[in-house]
Amino acid sequence: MRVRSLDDLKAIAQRALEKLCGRRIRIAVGLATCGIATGAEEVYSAFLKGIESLKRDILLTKVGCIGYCREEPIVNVVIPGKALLLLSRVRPEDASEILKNLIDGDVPREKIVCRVKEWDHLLEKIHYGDGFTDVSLYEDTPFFKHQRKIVLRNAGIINPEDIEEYIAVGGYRSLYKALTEMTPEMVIEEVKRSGLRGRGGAGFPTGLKWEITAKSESDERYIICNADEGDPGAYMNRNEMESDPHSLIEGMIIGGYAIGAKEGIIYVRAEYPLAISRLQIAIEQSRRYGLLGENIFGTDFSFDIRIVKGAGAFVCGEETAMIASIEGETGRPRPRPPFPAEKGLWGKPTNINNVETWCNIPVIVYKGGEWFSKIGTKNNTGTKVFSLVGEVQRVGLVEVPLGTSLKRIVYDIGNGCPDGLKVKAVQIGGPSGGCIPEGLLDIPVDYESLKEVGSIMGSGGMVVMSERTSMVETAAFFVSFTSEESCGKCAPCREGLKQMLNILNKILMGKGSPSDLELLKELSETIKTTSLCGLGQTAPNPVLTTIKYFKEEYEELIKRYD
Amino acid sequence: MREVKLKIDGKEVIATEGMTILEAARKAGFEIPTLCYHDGLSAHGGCRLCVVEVKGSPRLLTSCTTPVTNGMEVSINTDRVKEARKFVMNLIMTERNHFCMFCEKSGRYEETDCELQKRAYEVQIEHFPFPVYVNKYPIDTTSPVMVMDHNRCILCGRCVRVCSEVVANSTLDFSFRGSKALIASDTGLNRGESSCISCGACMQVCPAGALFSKFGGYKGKKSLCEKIETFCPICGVGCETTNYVRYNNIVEIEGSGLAKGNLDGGQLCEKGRYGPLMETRNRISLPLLRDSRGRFVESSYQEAINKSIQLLKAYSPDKIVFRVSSFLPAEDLAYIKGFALKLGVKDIDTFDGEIYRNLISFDYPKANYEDILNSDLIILVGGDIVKEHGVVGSYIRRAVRNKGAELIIISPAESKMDRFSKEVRRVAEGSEGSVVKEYEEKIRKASNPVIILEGAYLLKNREAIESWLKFAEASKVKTLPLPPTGNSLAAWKLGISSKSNENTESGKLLFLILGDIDSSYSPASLAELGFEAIILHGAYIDPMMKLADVVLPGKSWLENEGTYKLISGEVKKFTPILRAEKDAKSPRELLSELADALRLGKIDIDSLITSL
Repeated sequence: MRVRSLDDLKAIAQRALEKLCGRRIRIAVGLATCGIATGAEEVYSAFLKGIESLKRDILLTKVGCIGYCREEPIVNVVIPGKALLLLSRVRPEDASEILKNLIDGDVPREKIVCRVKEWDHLLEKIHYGDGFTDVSLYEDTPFFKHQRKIVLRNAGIINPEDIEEYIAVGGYRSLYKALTEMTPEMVIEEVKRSGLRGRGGAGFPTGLKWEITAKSESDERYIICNADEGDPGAYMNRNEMESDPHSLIEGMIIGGYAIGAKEGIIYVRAEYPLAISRLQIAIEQSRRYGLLGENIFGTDFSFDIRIVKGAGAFVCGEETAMIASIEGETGRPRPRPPFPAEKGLWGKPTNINNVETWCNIPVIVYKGGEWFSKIGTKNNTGTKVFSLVGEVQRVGLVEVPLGTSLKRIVYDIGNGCPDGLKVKAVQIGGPSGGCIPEGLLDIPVDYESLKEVGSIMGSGGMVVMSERTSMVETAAFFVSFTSEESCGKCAPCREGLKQMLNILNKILMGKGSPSDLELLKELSETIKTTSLCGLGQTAPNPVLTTIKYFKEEYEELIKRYD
Repeated sequence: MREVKLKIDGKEVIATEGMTILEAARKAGFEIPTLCYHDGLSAHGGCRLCVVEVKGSPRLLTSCTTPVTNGMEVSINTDRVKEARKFVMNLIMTERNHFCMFCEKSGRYEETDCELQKRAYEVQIEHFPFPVYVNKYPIDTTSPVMVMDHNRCILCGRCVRVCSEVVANSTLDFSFRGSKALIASDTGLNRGESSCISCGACMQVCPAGALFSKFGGYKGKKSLCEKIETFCPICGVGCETTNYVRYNNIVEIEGSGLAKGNLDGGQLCEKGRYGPLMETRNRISLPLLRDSRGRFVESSYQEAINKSIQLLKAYSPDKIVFRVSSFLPAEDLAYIKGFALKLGVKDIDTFDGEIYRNLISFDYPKANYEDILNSDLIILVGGDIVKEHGVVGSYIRRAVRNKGAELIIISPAESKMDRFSKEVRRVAEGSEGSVVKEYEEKIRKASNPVIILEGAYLLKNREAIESWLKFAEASKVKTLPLPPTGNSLAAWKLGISSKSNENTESGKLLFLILGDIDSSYSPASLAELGFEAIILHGAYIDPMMKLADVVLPGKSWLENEGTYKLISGEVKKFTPILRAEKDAKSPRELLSELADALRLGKIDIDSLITSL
């Protein structure tokens, strides 16, 4: 059915709400890649079999990931009128026991992580109910307590393959608002007011970026969603797409309207097959409901989205390299200026934003820039999703307001290192980021503070390292990554990183000399100042920060040779 | 264009909007070292040698890619910049095998052919500050004309850009990533098996020792050569050339149109760049006479002249036939015509005269190069344009690649042009005209269609081209028949080819003036038509010599100064590249001696030349 009005949307929402918290028991298995990797598909089949043999009207569905990766496979269950319960580490053999309990209005206690009385989808609140008062509330659970979900507001709760569930939690209402109540300028104004900055890492103000593209003179404009997530250990975007693809799509349609584009492209790496298939399903559904394509909501605004799959080059995350790749060229960056906002895809003004940036848009449009700007700190508004990985107890995907201290993330949410080990450093910003020593973990997570200590925000990779980690090895690992992924176009990055890696390996083999440290620094500085694109300009960061904060480790290795 | 004011090293410089810092600086007389940058190619920004400091920018910016803005303050030679340049050069020099003394292009600062080495001297690189890891990269010698030594490649991408932007053949591109990057032909084929058309543009722009000529390699530095600027007259396109000559030998030929902003972008075709270097035919170096026993004997020049005069006197003018190459300077062509007229000879023709007579009877609109570039439908009929008029081929490719023009090829044989066409129609040689009907409607529907007729074989065959030309005439479709030699148009214009050769059968003395061409152009049967005697004047040993009574050595086009009328209509004077041997004469030099001896009086050619 084609949605033409707010009433249409509301009718669908009413219908779909029945699926989320209706009169039936709902069992939702977390089937994002992380869940599947730990056996969630088998869990799903076990439930399916169990329900069939019980011949009961129980709704079994799939959802995305709620972020608590350590506890996968996670299943959430709703008994009508009672709180939603998160169950952890559910194995296929648990299914029959759980089903039996559910029918009796109960759940095996040892599986429960927490209960959710009410879930705020921001555009809509879902009230589940009370019950299970002996179980701790979601809000009081250490892993979730300090989080604030805007981008991941729907992740792990709704079925990502069902547009109606998305509509039930307020989906596409922002789009309706933008198209019927706002001019493109007003949308841009609202985004500017929100203070939202690019979540791909550089932190350029999103509203301003949109405005520049919208004002570039041209008959055609394009918008692109950068979903070429490639930082080692980072999977924010993957989960955003796998768990709530419509949020991204709605954000892009609004962006297309504001910027004056008729076509949007999602550039997603081919290594994300599940994200791609969920996006494809979502795009198809949106088209079928008239929310994508010609005359959206019956207005004269038309917009469509297509997916372009990246072939696995890290550098294609760089805007100009991505454009080259979409155009069918080798993915190599082009000199800027001209910036994509003036001359991008096919030479037309192009706006590129990260998945996470796009996912913020529906909320900003619906709740207002003012509302959004109050979250986080003054120049760092909103939240940021991080993949908290490495040697940390509660591995997972966390979303916190900007300005939250690293300590809070690593210790309060992540619970520090396992096995009683001490935290040594946190690596932020992927291979372009830096290693921040434990002593500096008091700093707030915002674009400026991270830059000050030699790192960058990056797209959200956060690798915790314990005292047993060699920082020189860490530096060498990241340089080997960037050296491998350097496109080879500019000499400093291509050859400089190779030389850096050679020196690091030499030091690791115990054959370094004191002058190597100087040479490393000199190489780093030159590569930073003379490289063509962001990859080279930031690639020496892991080396520079480890030399700055962990110089003694280098010296120790070098001394051994002397 | 709006004016932009900026400061370079404290000096106020006025540039125009859209210029890069490099362009503005060079225009104002500043020098910034570059490597990957090349005039006439898009900026690449890869080598990072041209970095400069711009006030307000924390990073160094590449001057070749950064546009000027009002009030910009640029410093091009600060210590920071110099150090960065040296550092980057160090990296480039240690990357692959740049042990200069073993390289073909290496030399001292004043004489090196290698831009990389020159820059290295300039930033004073005296040693390798980084360890050199000599990885072995392939050396590709499969191209018939050049060697690609990847060990000496600096990945500047000039070859890739010239191949796609100027030649529009896009054979070359980068493969792999990072320090493993390698210039690849097509999908990593050997060059000799790839779509490469051996035009050599990549070789010309290579700033290091990675691409070098199989013919010029190891023959000496360009700085040791005499440098002659002229153009290539072989096919009538007339590409401008710079010729490097040493000891009266050509070391290298380069296209020089690029810096001048020519349409051709400074490219040459295989024939133009390598043709003279690949010449395998033997020269006629001495005058020869047939003795009483029918054998050739060397003679003095004077003896040969005397014998020629004797023959010319022995036959009445109506028994004398002139057959002339059209690949001769207009001065020669005009003189030959004047000589024949004074002598009273009526039967004079070029070897491609038939073509002229085939074309003259149709009144179709003529296409020029711009028409090809702006066309939306190009019909290419006949032979291999890549081999015959290579640079015109690049205009077709540019139209196809940059503007989405459709190319249809109607040809009996495969060509490297085929891969750019939407449709290749294989027809039997001679039946190219039989398919016109099938394309008429499509052509009429196109907004700027162009028909190109290529190949002497095709143009000589009236049946094959008649229906195309009739259609072009009736439907006013712009058409470009490509002449077979570099001065066909002058020969036709001078009226040498206008005679029909009806009275050939009564000819008794044949005066063959071959210039550079060999008589494969002429019917082999010519001699069987009852000639009693043949005078042959030409540069190269030719099968027709077997039948000749007198053989006189001629100049090759490389030695012969003179005027050519190009396909574009332009008239250009060719400067000889090589010196001729003593006895090798141009046709006009030879004929003027004969005219004196025959007392034919002054033969005036000036008015004919100006009428071109």
